[in-house]
Amino acid sequence: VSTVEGQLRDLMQVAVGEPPHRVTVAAVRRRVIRRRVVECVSGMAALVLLAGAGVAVAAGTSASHPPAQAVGSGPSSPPPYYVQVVAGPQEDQLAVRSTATGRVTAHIASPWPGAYPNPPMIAAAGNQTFYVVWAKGVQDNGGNIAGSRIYRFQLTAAGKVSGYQLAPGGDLGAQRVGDIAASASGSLLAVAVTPGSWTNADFYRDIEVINTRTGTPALWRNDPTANGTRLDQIQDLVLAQGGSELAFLSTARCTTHAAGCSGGFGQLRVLSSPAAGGEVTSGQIVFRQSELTDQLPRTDQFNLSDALLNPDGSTIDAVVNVTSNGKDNSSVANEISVLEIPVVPAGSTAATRPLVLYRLNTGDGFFDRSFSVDPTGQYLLFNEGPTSGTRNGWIRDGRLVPLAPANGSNYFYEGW
Amino acid sequence: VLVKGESERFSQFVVERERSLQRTGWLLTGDWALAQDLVQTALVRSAPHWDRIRRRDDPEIYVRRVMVNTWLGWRRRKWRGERASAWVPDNPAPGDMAAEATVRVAVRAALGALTGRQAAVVVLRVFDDLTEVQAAAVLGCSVGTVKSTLARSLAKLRESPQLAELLEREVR
Repeated sequence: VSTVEGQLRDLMQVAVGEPPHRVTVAAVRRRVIRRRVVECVSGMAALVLLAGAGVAVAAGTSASHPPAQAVGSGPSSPPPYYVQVVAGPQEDQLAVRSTATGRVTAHIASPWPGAYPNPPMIAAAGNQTFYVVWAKGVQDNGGNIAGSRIYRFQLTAAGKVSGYQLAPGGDLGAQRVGDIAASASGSLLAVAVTPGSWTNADFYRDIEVINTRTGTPALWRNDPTANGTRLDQIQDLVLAQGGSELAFLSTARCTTHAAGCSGGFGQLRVLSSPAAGGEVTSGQIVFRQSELTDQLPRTDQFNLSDALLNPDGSTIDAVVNVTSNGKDNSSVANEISVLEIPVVPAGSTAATRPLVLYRLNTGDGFFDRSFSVDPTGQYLLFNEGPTSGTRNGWIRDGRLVPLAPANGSNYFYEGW
Repeated sequence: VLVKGESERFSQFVVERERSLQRTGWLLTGDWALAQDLVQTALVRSAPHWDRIRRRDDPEIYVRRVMVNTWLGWRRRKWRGERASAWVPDNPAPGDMAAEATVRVAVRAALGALTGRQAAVVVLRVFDDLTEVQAAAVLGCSVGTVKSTLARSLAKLRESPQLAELLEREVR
Protein backbone atom coordinates (compact mmCIF):
# COMPACT_ATOMS: atom_id res chain seq x y z
CA VAL A 1 0.00 0.00 0.00
CA SER A 2 1.47 3.33 -1.04
CA THR A 3 1.80 6.31 1.25
CA VAL A 4 -0.98 8.10 -0.57
CA GLU A 5 -3.28 5.12 -0.19
CA GLY A 6 -2.53 5.00 3.52
CA GLN A 7 -3.21 8.70 3.93
CA LEU A 8 -6.35 8.44 1.89
CA ARG A 9 -7.57 5.56 4.01
CA ASP A 10 -7.05 7.61 7.16
CA LEU A 11 -9.00 10.52 5.69
CA MET A 12 -11.80 8.20 4.64
CA GLN A 13 -11.98 6.76 8.14
CA VAL A 14 -12.35 10.26 9.58
CA ALA A 15 -14.91 11.25 6.95
CA VAL A 16 -17.10 8.21 7.33
CA GLY A 17 -17.50 8.03 11.09
CA GLU A 18 -20.29 5.85 12.45
CA PRO A 19 -23.58 5.11 10.67
CA PRO A 20 -26.42 6.92 12.47
CA HIS A 21 -28.84 4.02 12.05
CA ARG A 22 -28.57 0.26 12.06
CA VAL A 23 -29.71 -1.83 9.14
CA THR A 24 -31.78 -4.45 10.87
CA VAL A 25 -32.75 -7.90 9.77
CA ALA A 26 -36.38 -6.98 10.37
CA ALA A 27 -36.14 -4.03 7.99
CA VAL A 28 -34.56 -6.18 5.30
CA ARG A 29 -37.21 -8.86 5.72
CA ARG A 30 -39.92 -6.23 5.50
CA ARG A 31 -38.55 -5.02 2.20
CA VAL A 32 -38.25 -8.55 0.87
CA ILE A 33 -41.93 -9.04 1.60
CA ARG A 34 -42.83 -5.71 0.01
CA ARG A 35 -40.81 -6.61 -3.04
CA ARG A 36 -42.72 -9.84 -3.39
CA VAL A 37 -46.00 -8.03 -3.00
CA VAL A 38 -45.00 -5.53 -5.68
CA GLU A 39 -43.84 -8.33 -7.97
CA CYS A 40 -47.08 -10.17 -7.38
CA VAL A 41 -49.18 -7.09 -8.06
CA SER A 42 -47.09 -6.24 -11.13
CA GLY A 43 -47.50 -9.78 -12.40
CA MET A 44 -51.23 -9.60 -11.94
CA ALA A 45 -51.34 -6.25 -13.69
CA ALA A 46 -49.34 -7.66 -16.60
CA LEU A 47 -51.76 -10.57 -16.87
CA VAL A 48 -54.67 -8.19 -16.95
CA LEU A 49 -53.03 -6.17 -19.72
CA LEU A 50 -52.13 -9.26 -21.70
CA ALA A 51 -55.64 -10.51 -21.48
CA GLY A 52 -56.68 -7.28 -23.11
CA ALA A 53 -59.53 -6.92 -20.79
CA GLY A 54 -59.49 -3.19 -21.20
CA VAL A 55 -61.64 -2.93 -18.20
CA ALA A 56 -61.53 0.50 -16.69
CA VAL A 57 -60.79 -0.03 -13.07
CA ALA A 58 -62.73 2.49 -11.13
CA ALA A 59 -60.76 4.68 -8.80
CA GLY A 60 -61.14 3.26 -5.41
CA THR A 61 -60.52 -0.41 -6.08
CA SER A 62 -57.53 -1.98 -4.51
CA ALA A 63 -55.86 -5.33 -4.39
CA SER A 64 -55.70 -5.18 -0.64
CA HIS A 65 -59.31 -4.11 -0.26
CA PRO A 66 -61.30 -6.90 -1.84
CA PRO A 67 -64.91 -6.47 -2.85
CA ALA A 68 -67.25 -7.16 -0.05
CA GLN A 69 -69.31 -10.27 0.27
CA ALA A 70 -72.12 -10.99 2.65
CA VAL A 71 -71.39 -9.34 5.97
CA GLY A 72 -69.96 -11.71 8.52
CA SER A 73 -70.28 -14.74 6.30
CA GLY A 74 -66.63 -15.68 6.11
CA PRO A 75 -63.01 -14.56 6.31
CA SER A 76 -63.35 -12.19 3.33
CA SER A 77 -66.32 -10.28 4.65
CA PRO A 78 -66.23 -7.32 7.01
CA PRO A 79 -66.43 -7.98 10.74
CA PRO A 80 -69.96 -8.80 11.85
CA TYR A 81 -69.95 -6.28 14.69
CA TYR A 82 -68.37 -2.97 15.50
CA VAL A 83 -67.94 -0.99 18.71
CA GLN A 84 -68.94 2.66 18.99
CA VAL A 85 -68.34 5.46 21.43
CA VAL A 86 -71.77 7.05 21.69
CA ALA A 87 -72.33 10.59 22.94
CA GLY A 88 -74.58 10.31 25.99
CA PRO A 89 -76.60 12.94 27.85
CA GLN A 90 -74.24 12.81 30.80
CA GLU A 91 -71.27 10.74 29.76
CA ASP A 92 -70.23 8.92 26.64
CA GLN A 93 -71.10 5.27 26.37
CA LEU A 94 -69.94 2.22 24.50
CA ALA A 95 -72.19 0.12 22.32
CA VAL A 96 -71.82 -2.89 20.03
CA ARG A 97 -73.72 -2.85 16.75
CA SER A 98 -74.38 -5.38 14.06
CA THR A 99 -72.66 -4.43 10.80
CA ALA A 100 -75.46 -5.88 8.72
CA THR A 101 -78.49 -4.46 10.51
CA GLY A 102 -77.22 -1.72 12.82
CA ARG A 103 -78.97 -3.35 15.76
CA VAL A 104 -77.35 -2.68 19.13
CA THR A 105 -76.36 -6.09 20.47
CA ALA A 106 -74.70 -4.93 23.68
CA HIS A 107 -74.10 -1.88 25.84
CA ILE A 108 -70.75 -1.82 27.55
CA ALA A 109 -70.88 -0.27 30.97
CA SER A 110 -67.94 1.25 32.77
CA PRO A 111 -66.30 -1.48 34.85
CA TRP A 112 -64.66 1.19 36.99
CA PRO A 113 -67.10 3.42 38.90
CA GLY A 114 -66.84 7.02 37.80
CA ALA A 115 -64.72 6.29 34.72
CA TYR A 116 -65.61 7.39 31.19
CA PRO A 117 -64.40 6.42 27.71
CA ASN A 118 -62.10 8.92 26.08
CA PRO A 119 -61.97 8.33 22.32
CA PRO A 120 -60.18 7.14 20.37
CA MET A 121 -59.65 4.33 22.80
CA ILE A 122 -60.76 1.13 21.15
CA ALA A 123 -58.30 -1.36 19.75
CA ALA A 124 -59.36 -4.50 18.00
CA ALA A 125 -57.16 -7.57 18.03
CA GLY A 126 -58.11 -10.56 15.91
CA ASN A 127 -60.91 -12.91 16.83
CA GLN A 128 -63.33 -10.10 17.79
CA THR A 129 -61.30 -9.21 20.88
CA PHE A 130 -61.36 -5.55 21.89
CA TYR A 131 -59.37 -3.40 24.25
CA VAL A 132 -60.94 -0.23 25.59
CA VAL A 133 -59.55 2.52 27.78
CA TRP A 134 -61.56 3.99 30.64
CA ALA A 135 -60.32 7.14 32.30
CA LYS A 136 -61.15 8.89 35.54
CA GLY A 137 -60.93 12.64 36.07
CA VAL A 138 -59.67 14.46 39.12
CA GLN A 139 -62.63 15.50 41.26
CA ASP A 140 -61.62 19.11 41.78
CA ASN A 141 -60.47 19.67 38.21
CA GLY A 142 -62.47 17.87 35.56
CA GLY A 143 -59.82 18.31 32.90
CA ASN A 144 -57.09 16.31 34.56
CA ILE A 145 -56.78 12.55 34.51
CA ALA A 146 -56.57 10.69 37.80
CA GLY A 147 -56.13 7.32 36.19
CA SER A 148 -56.55 5.26 33.02
CA ARG A 149 -57.15 1.57 32.68
CA ILE A 150 -57.34 -0.83 29.75
CA TYR A 151 -60.07 -3.46 29.81
CA ARG A 152 -60.43 -6.41 27.50
CA PHE A 153 -63.50 -8.21 26.23
CA GLN A 154 -64.50 -10.54 23.46
CA LEU A 155 -67.62 -10.51 21.34
CA THR A 156 -69.59 -13.71 21.02
CA ALA A 157 -71.13 -14.92 17.78
CA ALA A 158 -74.31 -13.11 18.83
CA GLY A 159 -72.51 -9.82 19.46
CA LYS A 160 -72.62 -10.09 23.24
CA VAL A 161 -69.75 -9.16 25.51
CA SER A 162 -67.82 -11.86 27.35
CA GLY A 163 -64.66 -11.98 29.47
CA TYR A 164 -64.83 -8.28 30.33
CA GLN A 165 -61.87 -7.68 32.65
CA LEU A 166 -58.82 -5.55 33.32
CA ALA A 167 -56.08 -6.43 30.83
CA PRO A 168 -52.79 -7.61 32.38
CA GLY A 169 -50.66 -4.50 32.81
CA GLY A 170 -53.70 -2.41 31.99
CA ASP A 171 -53.55 -0.04 34.95
CA LEU A 172 -51.75 2.94 33.44
CA GLY A 173 -51.88 5.21 36.48
CA ALA A 174 -52.42 8.95 36.12
CA GLN A 175 -51.76 9.14 32.41
CA ARG A 176 -53.92 10.42 29.59
CA VAL A 177 -54.24 7.89 26.75
CA GLY A 178 -54.42 9.22 23.24
CA ASP A 179 -54.54 6.18 21.02
CA ILE A 180 -54.30 2.44 21.44
CA ALA A 181 -53.36 -0.48 19.23
CA ALA A 182 -53.37 -4.22 19.71
CA SER A 183 -51.36 -6.85 17.89
CA ALA A 184 -53.35 -9.44 15.95
CA SER A 185 -52.92 -12.01 18.71
CA GLY A 186 -53.57 -9.48 21.46
CA SER A 187 -50.26 -10.30 23.10
CA LEU A 188 -49.04 -6.72 22.78
CA LEU A 189 -50.79 -3.41 23.34
CA ALA A 190 -49.44 0.02 22.51
CA VAL A 191 -50.81 3.25 23.93
CA ALA A 192 -49.84 6.86 23.32
CA VAL A 193 -49.59 8.46 26.73
CA THR A 194 -48.92 11.79 28.30
CA PRO A 195 -49.07 12.92 31.92
CA GLY A 196 -52.61 13.37 33.14
CA SER A 197 -52.57 17.12 33.67
CA TRP A 198 -53.92 19.41 30.98
CA THR A 199 -50.76 21.45 30.87
CA ASN A 200 -48.94 18.53 29.30
CA ALA A 201 -51.82 17.13 27.31
CA ASP A 202 -51.29 19.16 24.16
CA PHE A 203 -49.29 16.34 22.66
CA TYR A 204 -49.10 12.64 23.30
CA ARG A 205 -45.51 12.33 24.26
CA ASP A 206 -44.54 8.74 24.86
CA ILE A 207 -45.67 5.28 23.82
CA GLU A 208 -46.12 2.51 26.32
CA VAL A 209 -46.08 -1.05 25.02
CA ILE A 210 -47.60 -3.69 27.26
CA ASN A 211 -47.01 -7.41 27.08
CA THR A 212 -50.46 -8.73 28.00
CA ARG A 213 -49.11 -12.17 28.82
CA THR A 214 -46.87 -10.88 31.59
CA GLY A 215 -48.28 -7.41 32.19
CA THR A 216 -44.80 -5.97 31.62
CA PRO A 217 -44.66 -2.43 30.21
CA ALA A 218 -41.94 -0.97 28.00
CA LEU A 219 -41.63 2.74 27.40
CA TRP A 220 -40.79 4.46 24.13
CA ARG A 221 -39.63 7.87 25.27
CA ASN A 222 -39.94 11.07 23.30
CA ASP A 223 -36.87 12.87 24.57
CA PRO A 224 -36.34 16.04 22.54
CA THR A 225 -32.77 16.31 23.67
CA ALA A 226 -31.89 12.96 22.14
CA ASN A 227 -31.47 14.13 18.56
CA GLY A 228 -32.98 17.58 18.20
CA THR A 229 -36.42 16.36 17.19
CA ARG A 230 -39.60 16.12 19.20
CA LEU A 231 -42.58 14.20 17.90
CA ASP A 232 -45.93 15.73 18.74
CA GLN A 233 -49.40 14.23 18.65
CA ILE A 234 -48.46 10.60 18.45
CA GLN A 235 -51.49 8.86 17.00
CA ASP A 236 -52.64 6.11 14.63
CA LEU A 237 -50.70 3.41 16.43
CA VAL A 238 -50.53 0.07 14.64
CA LEU A 239 -48.77 -3.09 15.80
CA ALA A 240 -47.92 -4.52 12.41
CA GLN A 241 -46.21 -7.69 11.22
CA GLY A 242 -47.67 -9.75 14.01
CA GLY A 243 -46.52 -7.27 16.62
CA SER A 244 -42.89 -7.13 15.55
CA GLU A 245 -43.28 -3.52 14.39
CA LEU A 246 -44.97 -0.50 15.88
CA ALA A 247 -46.06 2.24 13.49
CA PHE A 248 -47.30 5.67 14.47
CA LEU A 249 -48.12 9.01 12.92
CA SER A 250 -46.71 12.13 14.51
CA THR A 251 -45.81 15.70 13.77
CA ALA A 252 -42.12 16.45 13.91
CA ARG A 253 -41.05 19.57 15.77
CA CYS A 254 -37.63 21.09 15.94
CA THR A 255 -36.02 21.79 19.25
CA THR A 256 -33.68 24.67 19.85
CA HIS A 257 -30.79 22.28 19.30
CA ALA A 258 -31.67 21.53 15.68
CA ALA A 259 -30.45 24.52 13.74
CA GLY A 260 -32.08 25.22 10.41
CA CYS A 261 -34.68 22.50 10.49
CA SER A 262 -38.34 23.08 9.79
CA GLY A 263 -40.93 20.91 11.41
CA GLY A 264 -44.68 20.83 11.44
CA PHE A 265 -45.14 18.00 8.99
CA GLY A 266 -46.59 14.56 9.53
CA GLN A 267 -44.35 11.53 9.54
CA LEU A 268 -45.21 7.86 9.80
CA ARG A 269 -42.48 6.04 11.66
CA VAL A 270 -41.91 2.38 12.37
CA LEU A 271 -40.20 1.03 15.48
CA SER A 272 -38.77 -2.46 15.51
CA SER A 273 -39.09 -4.78 18.50
CA PRO A 274 -41.87 -2.79 20.20
CA ALA A 275 -41.61 -4.71 23.46
CA ALA A 276 -38.04 -3.51 23.95
CA GLY A 277 -38.77 0.20 24.43
CA GLY A 278 -36.37 3.01 23.60
CA GLU A 279 -36.59 6.39 21.89
CA VAL A 280 -39.55 7.10 19.59
CA THR A 281 -37.31 9.20 17.37
CA SER A 282 -35.27 6.10 16.54
CA GLY A 283 -38.17 4.87 14.42
CA GLN A 284 -37.54 4.66 10.71
CA ILE A 285 -39.57 7.16 8.69
CA VAL A 286 -41.57 5.23 6.10
CA PHE A 287 -43.76 8.09 4.92
CA ARG A 288 -43.74 11.87 5.04
CA GLN A 289 -46.72 14.12 4.51
CA SER A 290 -44.64 16.19 2.10
CA GLU A 291 -44.50 13.20 -0.27
CA LEU A 292 -48.12 13.84 -1.10
CA THR A 293 -47.57 17.41 -2.19
CA ASP A 294 -46.75 16.52 -5.78
CA GLN A 295 -49.08 13.57 -5.92
CA LEU A 296 -52.43 15.00 -5.03
CA PRO A 297 -54.48 16.15 -8.00
CA ARG A 298 -55.23 19.36 -6.18
CA THR A 299 -52.34 21.15 -4.63
CA ASP A 300 -54.33 23.39 -2.35
CA GLN A 301 -53.79 23.25 1.35
CA PHE A 302 -54.17 19.79 2.71
CA ASN A 303 -54.20 18.24 6.10
CA LEU A 304 -53.19 14.65 6.79
CA SER A 305 -55.57 13.67 9.52
CA ASP A 306 -54.88 9.94 9.67
CA ALA A 307 -52.31 7.48 8.39
CA LEU A 308 -52.54 3.85 9.42
CA LEU A 309 -49.93 1.34 8.38
CA ASN A 310 -51.48 -1.84 7.04
CA PRO A 311 -50.78 -4.85 9.30
CA ASP A 312 -48.56 -6.38 6.60
CA GLY A 313 -46.53 -3.18 6.37
CA SER A 314 -46.93 -2.80 2.60
CA THR A 315 -49.34 0.13 2.41
CA ILE A 316 -50.69 3.06 4.38
CA ASP A 317 -54.34 3.97 4.59
CA ALA A 318 -54.53 7.73 4.92
CA VAL A 319 -57.22 10.38 5.23
CA VAL A 320 -56.46 13.72 3.60
CA ASN A 321 -58.57 16.83 3.89
CA VAL A 322 -58.04 19.22 0.99
CA THR A 323 -59.06 22.84 1.27
CA SER A 324 -58.95 25.60 -1.31
CA ASN A 325 -59.59 29.35 -1.32
CA GLY A 326 -57.38 29.83 1.69
CA LYS A 327 -59.86 28.36 4.13
CA ASP A 328 -58.67 26.89 7.37
CA ASN A 329 -57.76 23.30 6.62
CA SER A 330 -57.61 22.01 10.12
CA SER A 331 -61.28 21.30 10.64
CA VAL A 332 -63.21 22.01 7.45
CA ALA A 333 -62.50 20.64 4.02
CA ASN A 334 -63.78 20.92 0.50
CA GLU A 335 -62.73 17.43 -0.23
CA ILE A 336 -61.99 14.38 1.84
CA SER A 337 -59.92 11.59 0.32
CA VAL A 338 -59.05 8.20 1.69
CA LEU A 339 -55.87 7.05 0.03
CA GLU A 340 -53.92 3.84 -0.11
CA ILE A 341 -50.26 4.75 -0.24
CA PRO A 342 -47.63 2.11 -1.02
CA VAL A 343 -44.72 2.10 1.39
CA VAL A 344 -41.76 2.99 -0.79
CA PRO A 345 -38.22 2.64 0.54
CA ALA A 346 -36.48 5.98 0.96
CA GLY A 347 -33.95 5.39 -1.80
CA SER A 348 -36.26 3.69 -4.25
CA THR A 349 -36.79 5.24 -7.64
CA ALA A 350 -40.50 4.49 -7.45
CA ALA A 351 -42.65 7.51 -6.70
CA THR A 352 -45.26 7.49 -3.99
CA ARG A 353 -48.41 7.04 -6.03
CA PRO A 354 -51.47 6.95 -3.84
CA LEU A 355 -54.54 5.07 -4.91
CA VAL A 356 -57.81 6.81 -4.14
CA LEU A 357 -60.06 4.47 -2.20
CA TYR A 358 -62.77 7.00 -1.55
CA ARG A 359 -63.26 10.65 -2.27
CA LEU A 360 -66.02 13.04 -1.39
CA ASN A 361 -66.42 16.58 -2.61
CA THR A 362 -68.01 18.05 0.43
CA GLY A 363 -68.19 21.76 0.09
CA ASP A 364 -67.53 23.68 3.24
CA GLY A 365 -68.10 22.28 6.65
CA PHE A 366 -67.30 18.60 6.27
CA PHE A 367 -64.69 16.82 8.27
CA ASP A 368 -63.83 13.31 9.27
CA ARG A 369 -64.56 12.18 12.78
CA SER A 370 -63.38 8.62 12.95
CA PHE A 371 -61.24 6.35 10.80
CA SER A 372 -60.20 2.83 11.70
CA VAL A 373 -59.18 -0.41 10.06
CA ASP A 374 -60.03 -3.96 11.04
CA PRO A 375 -57.21 -6.27 12.27
CA THR A 376 -56.75 -7.75 8.79
CA GLY A 377 -56.23 -4.29 7.30
CA GLN A 378 -58.92 -4.86 4.67
CA TYR A 379 -61.99 -3.04 5.90
CA LEU A 380 -61.98 0.68 6.53
CA LEU A 381 -64.54 2.11 8.91
CA PHE A 382 -65.17 5.76 8.23
CA ASN A 383 -67.33 8.38 9.85
CA GLU A 384 -67.29 11.80 8.20
CA GLY A 385 -69.30 14.94 7.79
CA PRO A 386 -70.69 17.84 9.82
CA THR A 387 -72.51 17.44 13.09
CA SER A 388 -75.85 17.84 11.34
CA GLY A 389 -75.32 15.07 8.83
CA THR A 390 -72.35 12.84 9.49
CA ARG A 391 -72.11 9.83 7.22
CA ASN A 392 -71.29 6.53 8.83
CA GLY A 393 -70.09 3.58 6.82
CA TRP A 394 -67.26 1.47 5.47
CA ILE A 395 -65.39 1.84 2.24
CA ARG A 396 -65.87 -0.53 -0.66
CA ASP A 397 -65.15 0.01 -4.36
CA GLY A 398 -64.78 3.74 -4.05
CA ARG A 399 -67.94 4.38 -2.11
CA LEU A 400 -69.07 4.52 1.47
CA VAL A 401 -71.33 1.58 2.26
CA PRO A 402 -73.71 3.05 4.84
CA LEU A 403 -74.00 1.46 8.24
CA ALA A 404 -77.30 1.62 10.00
CA PRO A 405 -77.95 4.14 11.35
CA ALA A 406 -76.27 6.05 8.54
CA ASN A 407 -76.19 9.32 10.44
CA GLY A 408 -73.09 9.13 12.58
CA SER A 409 -73.43 12.44 14.38
CA ASN A 410 -73.60 10.87 17.80
CA TYR A 411 -70.58 8.60 17.43
CA PHE A 412 -67.17 9.85 18.35
CA TYR A 413 -65.21 6.79 17.48
CA GLU A 414 -65.79 3.39 15.96
CA GLY A 415 -63.66 0.28 15.73
CA TRP A 416 -64.01 -3.29 14.45
CA VAL B 1 -38.12 -15.56 3.41
CA LEU B 2 -35.42 -18.11 4.00
CA VAL B 3 -35.33 -21.72 5.07
CA LYS B 4 -34.48 -22.40 8.68
CA GLY B 5 -30.76 -22.27 9.25
CA GLU B 6 -30.15 -20.01 6.28
CA SER B 7 -32.31 -17.40 7.94
CA GLU B 8 -30.09 -17.48 11.01
CA ARG B 9 -26.94 -17.30 8.92
CA PHE B 10 -28.35 -14.37 6.95
CA SER B 11 -29.33 -12.59 10.16
CA GLN B 12 -25.86 -13.16 11.56
CA PHE B 13 -24.30 -11.71 8.41
CA VAL B 14 -26.52 -8.62 8.59
CA VAL B 15 -25.76 -8.03 12.26
CA GLU B 16 -22.02 -8.49 11.81
CA ARG B 17 -21.49 -6.66 8.53
CA GLU B 18 -24.12 -3.95 8.19
CA ARG B 19 -21.99 -1.18 9.68
CA SER B 20 -19.06 -1.94 7.43
CA LEU B 21 -21.38 -2.11 4.43
CA GLN B 22 -23.00 1.17 5.39
CA ARG B 23 -19.62 2.89 5.57
CA THR B 24 -18.83 1.65 2.09
CA GLY B 25 -22.26 2.86 1.05
CA TRP B 26 -21.59 6.32 2.47
CA LEU B 27 -18.32 6.64 0.57
CA LEU B 28 -20.15 5.72 -2.63
CA THR B 29 -23.24 7.85 -2.13
CA GLY B 30 -22.07 10.59 0.24
CA ASP B 31 -25.33 10.33 2.18
CA TRP B 32 -26.21 8.13 5.14
CA ALA B 33 -29.83 7.69 4.15
CA LEU B 34 -28.84 6.57 0.67
CA ALA B 35 -26.10 4.39 2.14
CA GLN B 36 -28.63 2.67 4.36
CA ASP B 37 -30.97 2.21 1.44
CA LEU B 38 -28.17 0.88 -0.73
CA VAL B 39 -27.23 -1.71 1.88
CA GLN B 40 -30.85 -2.69 2.40
CA THR B 41 -31.41 -2.99 -1.34
CA ALA B 42 -28.36 -5.22 -1.71
CA LEU B 43 -29.46 -7.40 1.18
CA VAL B 44 -33.02 -7.61 -0.11
CA ARG B 45 -31.75 -8.74 -3.50
CA SER B 46 -29.37 -11.22 -1.94
CA ALA B 47 -31.64 -12.70 0.73
CA PRO B 48 -33.76 -14.97 -1.49
CA HIS B 49 -30.59 -16.65 -2.86
CA TRP B 50 -28.63 -16.80 0.36
CA ASP B 51 -28.24 -20.55 0.37
CA ARG B 52 -26.78 -20.52 -3.15
CA ILE B 53 -24.64 -17.47 -2.43
CA ARG B 54 -23.19 -19.06 0.65
CA ARG B 55 -22.42 -22.32 -1.12
CA ARG B 56 -20.99 -20.92 -4.33
CA ASP B 57 -19.69 -17.50 -3.47
CA ASP B 58 -18.27 -15.34 -0.73
CA PRO B 59 -21.38 -13.62 0.72
CA GLU B 60 -19.43 -10.48 1.54
CA ILE B 61 -18.14 -10.17 -2.02
CA TYR B 62 -21.56 -10.97 -3.44
CA VAL B 63 -23.37 -8.34 -1.37
CA ARG B 64 -20.75 -5.72 -2.17
CA ARG B 65 -21.08 -6.60 -5.84
CA VAL B 66 -24.83 -6.02 -5.66
CA MET B 67 -24.22 -2.75 -3.81
CA VAL B 68 -21.77 -1.45 -6.40
CA ASN B 69 -23.91 -2.53 -9.34
CA THR B 70 -27.01 -0.99 -7.77
CA TRP B 71 -25.19 2.25 -7.07
CA LEU B 72 -23.74 2.38 -10.59
CA GLY B 73 -27.31 1.93 -11.84
CA TRP B 74 -28.47 4.85 -9.69
CA ARG B 75 -25.66 7.01 -11.07
CA ARG B 76 -26.47 6.09 -14.64
CA ARG B 77 -30.04 7.21 -14.12
CA LYS B 78 -28.65 10.41 -12.64
CA TRP B 79 -30.91 9.88 -9.67
CA ARG B 80 -29.65 11.17 -6.39
CA GLY B 81 -32.64 10.69 -4.19
CA GLU B 82 -32.90 14.33 -3.24
CA ARG B 83 -36.40 15.62 -2.93
CA ALA B 84 -37.27 19.14 -1.96
CA SER B 85 -39.36 18.81 1.14
CA ALA B 86 -39.58 20.37 4.53
CA TRP B 87 -38.68 17.60 6.88
CA VAL B 88 -36.70 17.30 10.02
CA PRO B 89 -33.27 15.68 9.86
CA ASP B 90 -33.47 12.35 11.63
CA ASN B 91 -30.23 12.54 13.50
CA PRO B 92 -27.90 15.52 13.46
CA ALA B 93 -24.41 14.09 13.51
CA PRO B 94 -23.08 14.05 17.06
CA GLY B 95 -19.71 15.71 17.60
CA ASP B 96 -19.77 17.27 14.16
CA MET B 97 -16.52 19.13 14.58
CA ALA B 98 -15.27 21.56 11.97
CA ALA B 99 -12.16 19.52 11.19
CA GLU B 100 -14.14 16.35 10.61
CA ALA B 101 -16.62 18.25 8.50
CA THR B 102 -13.80 19.62 6.35
CA VAL B 103 -12.45 16.12 5.76
CA ARG B 104 -15.94 14.80 5.09
CA VAL B 105 -16.66 17.45 2.50
CA ALA B 106 -13.28 17.02 0.84
CA VAL B 107 -13.51 13.23 0.64
CA ARG B 108 -17.06 13.36 -0.64
CA ALA B 109 -16.20 15.95 -3.26
CA ALA B 110 -13.08 14.13 -4.39
CA LEU B 111 -14.85 10.79 -4.74
CA GLY B 112 -17.76 12.49 -6.43
CA ALA B 113 -15.43 13.85 -9.09
CA LEU B 114 -14.40 10.32 -10.09
CA THR B 115 -16.35 8.11 -12.42
CA GLY B 116 -18.53 5.54 -10.71
CA ARG B 117 -16.16 2.69 -11.46
CA GLN B 118 -13.12 4.67 -10.33
CA ALA B 119 -14.79 5.60 -7.05
CA ALA B 120 -15.81 1.99 -6.49
CA VAL B 121 -12.25 0.76 -7.04
CA VAL B 122 -10.87 3.33 -4.60
CA VAL B 123 -13.42 2.49 -1.92
CA LEU B 124 -13.04 -1.26 -2.29
CA ARG B 125 -9.25 -1.31 -2.47
CA VAL B 126 -8.29 1.55 -0.17
CA PHE B 127 -11.07 1.72 2.40
CA ASP B 128 -12.48 -1.81 2.44
CA ASP B 129 -8.99 -3.21 2.00
CA LEU B 130 -10.08 -5.86 -0.48
CA THR B 131 -7.36 -7.57 -2.45
CA GLU B 132 -7.09 -6.87 -6.16
CA VAL B 133 -8.60 -10.28 -6.84
CA GLN B 134 -11.55 -9.59 -4.53
CA ALA B 135 -12.11 -6.11 -5.97
CA ALA B 136 -12.03 -7.61 -9.46
CA ALA B 137 -14.62 -10.17 -8.36
CA VAL B 138 -16.89 -7.43 -7.01
CA LEU B 139 -16.58 -5.31 -10.12
CA GLY B 140 -16.67 -8.19 -12.55
CA CYS B 141 -13.44 -7.18 -14.30
CA SER B 142 -9.85 -8.36 -14.55
CA VAL B 143 -7.17 -7.78 -11.91
CA GLY B 144 -5.27 -5.71 -14.43
CA THR B 145 -8.25 -3.40 -14.88
CA VAL B 146 -8.47 -2.92 -11.11
CA LYS B 147 -4.78 -2.00 -10.97
CA SER B 148 -4.92 0.48 -13.83
CA THR B 149 -8.20 2.01 -12.66
CA LEU B 150 -6.83 2.49 -9.15
CA ALA B 151 -3.68 4.13 -10.46
CA ARG B 152 -5.69 6.56 -12.59
CA SER B 153 -8.09 7.24 -9.72
CA LEU B 154 -5.33 8.03 -7.23
CA ALA B 155 -3.70 10.36 -9.72
CA LYS B 156 -7.00 12.16 -10.15
CA LEU B 157 -7.55 12.36 -6.39
CA ARG B 158 -4.15 13.97 -5.91
CA GLU B 159 -5.33 16.72 -8.25
CA SER B 160 -8.35 17.47 -6.06
CA PRO B 161 -7.39 20.81 -4.45
CA GLN B 162 -9.16 20.20 -1.14
CA LEU B 163 -7.93 16.65 -0.79
CA ALA B 164 -4.40 17.54 -1.87
CA GLU B 165 -4.22 20.05 0.94
CA LEU B 166 -5.34 17.47 3.47
CA LEU B 167 -2.89 14.91 2.16
CA GLU B 168 -0.10 17.46 2.48
CA ARG B 169 -1.11 18.13 6.07
CA GLU B 170 -0.97 14.40 6.78
CA VAL B 171 2.57 14.22 5.43
CA ARG B 172 3.64 17.17 7.60
